[in-house]
Amino acid sequence: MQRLWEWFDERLHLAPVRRALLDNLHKPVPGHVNWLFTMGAALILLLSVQLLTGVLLMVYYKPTGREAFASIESIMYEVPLGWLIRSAHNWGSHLIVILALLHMFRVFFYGGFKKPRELTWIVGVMLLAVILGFGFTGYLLPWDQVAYWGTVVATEAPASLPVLGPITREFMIGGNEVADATLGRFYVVHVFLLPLLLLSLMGLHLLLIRYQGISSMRRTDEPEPTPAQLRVDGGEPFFPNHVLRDSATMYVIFGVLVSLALLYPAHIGSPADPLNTPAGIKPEWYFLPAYQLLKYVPEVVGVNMPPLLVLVLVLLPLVIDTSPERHPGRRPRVVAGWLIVSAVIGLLGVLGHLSETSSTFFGTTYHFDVQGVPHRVVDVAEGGEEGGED
Amino acid sequence: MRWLALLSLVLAWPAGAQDTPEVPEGQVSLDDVWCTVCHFEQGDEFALSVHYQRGLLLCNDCHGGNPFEPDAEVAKAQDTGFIGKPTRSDIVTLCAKCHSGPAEFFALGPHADDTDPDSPTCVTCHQNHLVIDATLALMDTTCAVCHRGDSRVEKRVTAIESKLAGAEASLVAMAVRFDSLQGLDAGLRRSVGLLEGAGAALRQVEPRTHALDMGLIGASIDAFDEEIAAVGEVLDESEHWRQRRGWIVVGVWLFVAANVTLLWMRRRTL
Amino acid sequence: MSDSPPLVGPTRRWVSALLSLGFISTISGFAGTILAYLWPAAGGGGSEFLVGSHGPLRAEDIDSDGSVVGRSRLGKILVVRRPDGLVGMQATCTHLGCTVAWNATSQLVECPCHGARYNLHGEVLAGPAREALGLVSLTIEEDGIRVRPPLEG
Repeated sequence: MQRLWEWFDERLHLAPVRRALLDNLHKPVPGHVNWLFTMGAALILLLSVQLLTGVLLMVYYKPTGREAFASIESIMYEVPLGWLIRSAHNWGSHLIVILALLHMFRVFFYGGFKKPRELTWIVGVMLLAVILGFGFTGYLLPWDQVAYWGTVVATEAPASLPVLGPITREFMIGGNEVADATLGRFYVVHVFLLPLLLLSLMGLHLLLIRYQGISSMRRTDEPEPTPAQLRVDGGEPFFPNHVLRDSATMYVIFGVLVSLALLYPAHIGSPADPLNTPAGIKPEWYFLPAYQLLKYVPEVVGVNMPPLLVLVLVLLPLVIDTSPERHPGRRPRVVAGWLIVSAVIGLLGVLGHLSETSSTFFGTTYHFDVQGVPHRVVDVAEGGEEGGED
Repeated sequence: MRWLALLSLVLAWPAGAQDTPEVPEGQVSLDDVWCTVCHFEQGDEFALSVHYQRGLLLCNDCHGGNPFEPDAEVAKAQDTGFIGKPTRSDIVTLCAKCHSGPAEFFALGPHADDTDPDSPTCVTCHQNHLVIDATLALMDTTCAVCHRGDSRVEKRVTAIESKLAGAEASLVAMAVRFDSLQGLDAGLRRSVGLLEGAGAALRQVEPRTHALDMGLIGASIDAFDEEIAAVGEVLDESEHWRQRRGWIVVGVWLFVAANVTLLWMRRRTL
Repeated sequence: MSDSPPLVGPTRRWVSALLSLGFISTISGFAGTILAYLWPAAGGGGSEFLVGSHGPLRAEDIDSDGSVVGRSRLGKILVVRRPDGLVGMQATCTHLGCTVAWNATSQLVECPCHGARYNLHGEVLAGPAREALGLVSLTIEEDGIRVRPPLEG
């Protein structure tokens, strides 16, 4: 091993590089760093799993309208452990969105996005957009009824924008309606362009984090703490202390993913039929808030809300929350705003989930209409619904 | 049996006189058929039968003749194929035109004797005009009409009924189990063909009951049992696999716990 | 290295400017080519006759008060058989693009996505749709159902 190192070192002068790397890895993390700070590592694990399972799926998946559905069935029922690979990929996508959002919340509350780490935050927002883009493009690939019609609805919305709307939509789906051309485009984006973008952004994100170190809780108008000061504040070296914590979290998340994939394998519906829209088409849960919003406000407004939200996130460290305080208790207005917006989005999501379904609470059955308004359902034998808003 | 027919006649006649029952789609209204002008009793019975209701037959399909000819002589002329009231052998031949399976096995059974005028034909058990869907319950009532008190016959009837009822019940149970498991294991969808095959096998048993021969019926029930067993095997494997997966999950978590413990121990030494 | 004198002054500026122009043109060329390559198909195909998933649709296959959805040159078309003949209209809901269906029980054209309801003239009766469904004129011919833009008047 030593000889191998020397062989490379002679040719590339790696000693200073090694020195710099070790210095960086042994730099202490701030004292307040706890388990919540390991979600980034969990995301690294999950994204790696997605890449791996994705490549494996590519071996057997066929991206044409005629073969896509059958190829997925083949993966599920014929290819050895194909069901496991696909289910892991499926569950992985859900876990990634959840963990990415939790990670974002953590960074927000600890004020890690503030000066001098605004760039890291902005790259993070872009990563979130890439993750959602993965979800959006990947959803169509099984080419079943839900996938097809969910994509039809999702791509119709931008068409309502004036002037550029219709042409943007046509460009996105490669024609007038969702068809083979759409599948081809979404596939290329999903398996090549977005992974390329993901790896670049991830690399940048990690580089920035390691270079600048994890943020302390000091005010931004105070100088960044030196490693000596961090040690005094109770900080432990990143490597191996925090890395061990990261690893433990990665193992646990791995366990969660494998359990879900084993116990609840992915399903597939019926093959896409462009001439027949089934009832109750809804997008994936992380798009439900936007979907539900469109039912309450004019399309032009509703379609622009998600991009607006992204803009707000990008502007957060630059314009919106520029107070020097990192501690959430000392910047109550921004924190309140964040919580309110999150609650509204969450509520929209819940309404989106409940809409067009019936549920029974304490003996009374409620049917939630398209707008999510519950109506008490009287026993059918007694003749029909009774309108009653709660 | 005959007084039952009389009763239904009494009940049906005023009903028929008051409001015409709906004419099934693609079927001719019995008011437009001349036979029923005189033979209204048979007409009313026939109107309630599955043969009429499903648009399958009219009077001439069994009796010959021309049902749309008002002149009785012309309607029943020789060249119309009119046979009037069918003879014993006529009956079996007529029914066999569509129900070849049951007819084939009936010919192998104890009632196949053409020469005995008291021996039953198809219409003895299934009625001539008011033909309804055949069910197992039919065996309860009709056999006893001639064989009441004959313990041998009663034993055979009971045996056939219980075998068939058992087969039906196991098919229903298997279908229910299939349905509930399908929710958990989508792959079972590919085995639906097996379940349908079992259903088809059961339908093969029904014509064989007309032979009233336990040997023959037994063989077809065995074939059905095999099909059902195949479905059962698939379902068993699905459940077994679910259990095994549960254990694998436990194993995964043990592995994770072990590694996390090791990491913790490593951390403690720092 | 050559012995030619170094470029100075105005000549040097010109050469730099032209080089930049060259580079930008190359990039634009790439961009233009890519854009043209990715430009969405016009989608003008489709038959004059109504076509289903397995071939041309026939009028005889549509039951009384029944319906069928097929493709044609004018897009996806819903055809309903009424007592006085066949009615044809655009099958793509004007709200968010789902395919509408004929509901014989309610005697309305309904969209399963958000509950838009139209009558047989394509007019919006309820739900989030804002524009009416376009009608088409249908003629029953030997080869199938011919779909044409609506007749005037």
